[in-house]
Amino acid sequence: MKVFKKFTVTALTAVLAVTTAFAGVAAAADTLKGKITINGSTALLPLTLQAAKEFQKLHPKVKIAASGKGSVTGPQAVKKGIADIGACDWDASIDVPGFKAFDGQVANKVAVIPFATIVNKNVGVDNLTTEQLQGIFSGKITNWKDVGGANADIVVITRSFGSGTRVNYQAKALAGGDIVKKEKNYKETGSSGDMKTAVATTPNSIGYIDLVYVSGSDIKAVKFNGVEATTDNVINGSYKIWAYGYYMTKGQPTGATKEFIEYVQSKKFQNGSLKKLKFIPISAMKG
Amino acid sequence: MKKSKWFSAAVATALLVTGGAGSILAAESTVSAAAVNNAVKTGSATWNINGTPVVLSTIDSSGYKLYSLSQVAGELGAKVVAGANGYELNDSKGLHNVQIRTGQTGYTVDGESLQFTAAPVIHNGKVYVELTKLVTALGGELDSTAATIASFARPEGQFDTLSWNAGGSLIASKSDAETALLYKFSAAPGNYELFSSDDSAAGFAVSTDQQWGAFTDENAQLQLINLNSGAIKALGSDTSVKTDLVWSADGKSIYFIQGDKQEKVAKVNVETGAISSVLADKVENKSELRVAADEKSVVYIVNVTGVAKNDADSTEDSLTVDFSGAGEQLYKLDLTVKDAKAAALTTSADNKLYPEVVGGGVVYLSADPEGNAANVLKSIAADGKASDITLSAEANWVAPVSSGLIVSGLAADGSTVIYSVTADGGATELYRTSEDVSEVAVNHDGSKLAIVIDGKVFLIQNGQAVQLTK
Repeated sequence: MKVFKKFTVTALTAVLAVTTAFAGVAAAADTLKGKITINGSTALLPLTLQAAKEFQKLHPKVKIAASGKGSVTGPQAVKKGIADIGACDWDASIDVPGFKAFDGQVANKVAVIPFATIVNKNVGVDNLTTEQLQGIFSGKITNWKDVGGANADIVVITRSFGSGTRVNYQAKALAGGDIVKKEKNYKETGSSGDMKTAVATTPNSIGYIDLVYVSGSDIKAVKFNGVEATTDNVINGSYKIWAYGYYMTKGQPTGATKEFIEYVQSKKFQNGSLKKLKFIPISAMKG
Repeated sequence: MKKSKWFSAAVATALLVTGGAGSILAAESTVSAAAVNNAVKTGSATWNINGTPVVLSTIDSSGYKLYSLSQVAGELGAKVVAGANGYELNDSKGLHNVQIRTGQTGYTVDGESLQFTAAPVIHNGKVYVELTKLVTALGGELDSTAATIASFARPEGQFDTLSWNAGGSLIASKSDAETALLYKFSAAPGNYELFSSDDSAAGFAVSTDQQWGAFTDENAQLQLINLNSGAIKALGSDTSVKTDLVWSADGKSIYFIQGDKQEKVAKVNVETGAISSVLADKVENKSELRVAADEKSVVYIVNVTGVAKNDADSTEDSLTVDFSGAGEQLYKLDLTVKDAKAAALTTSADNKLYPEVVGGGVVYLSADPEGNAANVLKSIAADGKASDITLSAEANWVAPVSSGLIVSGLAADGSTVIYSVTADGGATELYRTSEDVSEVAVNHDGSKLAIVIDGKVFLIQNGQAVQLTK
């Protein structure tokens, strides 16, 4: 333990009257500086910006600039040298369906991201199986009546190619099944926010989204194989549509980038702000 | 800059440090009660017990110094009951039970069998025992070097996230526990209790009267925690994402940033739980919300993101990212004008931290993103005029008080210095330490101050730095 060597203080009555109680971190003898650029997953962007805010209080001279454009652009930006960190909803250091591994990149696990199948509020269906979802997104099932709903055309809304949410949804919800582009009743969106808006404003639509975005009365999450999309069900293993979120780096991270990633992985952030943003701490998952 | 009258405080660590085996002069072997009794010398030793000097009766016997059981127990507030099988002691909190027998080195603490080095003995009708083991068994803490004893040992571990309540207790989060635990401390070392085991509660926003804390749980549900009892109750039922909770001065509302993309400013009525919109301009990534005491304006930071572009097929070749406009900018919203638009207060590329509403204007910490220049405390007056507040140390933390700010900074010699800063920019140095202060907390009326050094909590009181955790 450090010894409290010297401590001089004025009489505390000199401390000015305050209207409330305040506390906060102070950057004690901080020497860390540098610029960290982060691009990629829009799903991870709120987490990144929250962490950046807190990290800068510890290290005021570190500049953190972030942007979101879909998961694949994360490791792409790292590979091109235009970002230090590539936020990605899959481990881009290994091959995944549709995307080759980004050689030389290191996947730093930062969060667990649950995803949910969502439908417009007018859809009467509240549960869909893997097979039913495969049929809907492949275009083989086109009417809600075929999955227990009303007689109405299904409008499929999906994320654009390169989206980590799409990669994980195909892998987990569709068990590797295809999402087939259709001439009608089909739309692609470029971000989680756009997906939410599209499903909320399109009657008879179905889409998928990060669980954190499921809110409001215009959309609703449906059960997957009879299991509700909740963080508890992700943690207890009964709900399968989830993935780790990663910060991809060119080799092992160093300097301010390393410090920032370690902050995001810290127990303080994982059990604090990360949970309040409705992500799941990586330590919550067994194995 | 004014400089306040200084005086040196006592060295904090001299007050209490975990002690070694100070009661035993030689500890190579155990001895029988009879052997000790054969060569008894009576004496006394002065210890500072809970801040008061106390002369304790002792006996020196064959190289062992033993202390009066009844006297030590009495000073620690423990109860002693003599029975047919020896003596039973219970501490004043009812947490520890100790059973000893004269002439036997074996004793039990909370059912666990332990060994004295020298067996307790009876001399002139009094029982004498090893001091350190007795104090420890009763949950106390002894520092042999400083000759101090506390009735209750201080908690060990890494602590942070300090807050004060209206009763003058300090609440801190034990951050190295499996899940964060909140402890409530009084000014007396060792006088603490587990306050809450709800790890979502850590970092709650404190109401102006310090009676309540507000926080969100993992479902983003607002919760209120009574800062005296630790009781928690839900406020409303909304589960949209909420960050940066701020109480209004009258305690009737809690303002916050709302939304998946932190795109709104809203407030909740503390009585009814009803949420109402303050600002919904679709500008994303708001944070660091502050509310003027008169609730006529709010100030916040917008974290402007970079701009990434690519083609429809997300090809690598097409990807570009422009970070040139990325960074924090301060905005102010006039709440007295219906449907007012937020006005940008800054456009510069510096890092902006700790915005605070002071005297109608805004003060914030500006840090050089290149890391070359020293941090600067910048002030933007109500009329928009910008100026720097000069301190002798490099500022790194800011908190508002009724007449200005409390600012922490690093002096050129590496010392941590804490100032009070008035609305007109006048700064008064309050205290300094050569240690690295990682956190500062000031209570409602400024009469109490606490800091964290190396994960340890120190209370600054009457010029003394008292270490509350170890």
